[in-house]
Amino acid sequence: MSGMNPSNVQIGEEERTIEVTPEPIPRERPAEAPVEAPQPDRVPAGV
Amino acid sequence: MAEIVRRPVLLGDDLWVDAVVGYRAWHVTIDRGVATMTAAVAKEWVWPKASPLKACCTPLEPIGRYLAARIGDHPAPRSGCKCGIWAFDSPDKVAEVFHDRVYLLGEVALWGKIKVHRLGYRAEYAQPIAVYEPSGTWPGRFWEAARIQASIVARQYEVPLVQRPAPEIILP
Repeated sequence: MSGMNPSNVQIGEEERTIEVTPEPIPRERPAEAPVEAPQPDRVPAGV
Repeated sequence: MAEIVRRPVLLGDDLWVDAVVGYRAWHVTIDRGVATMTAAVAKEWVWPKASPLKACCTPLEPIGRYLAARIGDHPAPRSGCKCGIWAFDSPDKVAEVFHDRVYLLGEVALWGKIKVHRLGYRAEYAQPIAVYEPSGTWPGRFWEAARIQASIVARQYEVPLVQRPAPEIILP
């Protein structure tokens, strides 16, 4: 019957060992400063 | 052995782990509004709030003391000993042993060194990631008190209060 004798809890025979390792959270690279778009050479009006 | 379930868990601001999900039961006490979860079997083990529990080999029962003394001091979990943080590998198995009329059931993230057993795990690190709503159908006031207690635990341990997954039906 369920819940009757939890002090005799069994999880069965050991089968293998695994390692689960924490890893650093990947960080986004900091945004680079915006680069100004090159301005076209000004052309005098009327040319 | 059930299929190993994995879930990514954040460990603070800098670390995450693809943890193994285990299923456990706890004793709960609430004293002046402060909830404390202790292990269902080794009741001396208090589970910390919102931080990992690290295993060490301090057996409480005679067979565990005998095994540990025979092996000598060692980090937990170790083969041939019973040390480590125990969990079942399915919600059905924990519910077969621990009735939620008496115990709070839920899910833990397991990581570090993990001994995989036929029905569950012994792990180096564990942290609760969810607690289950009591499923009882007993008289209303008792059920309501158990549900309030579970919700206090969930809030203080910073985990969601969720319904236990429906039992798996295995066809012959």
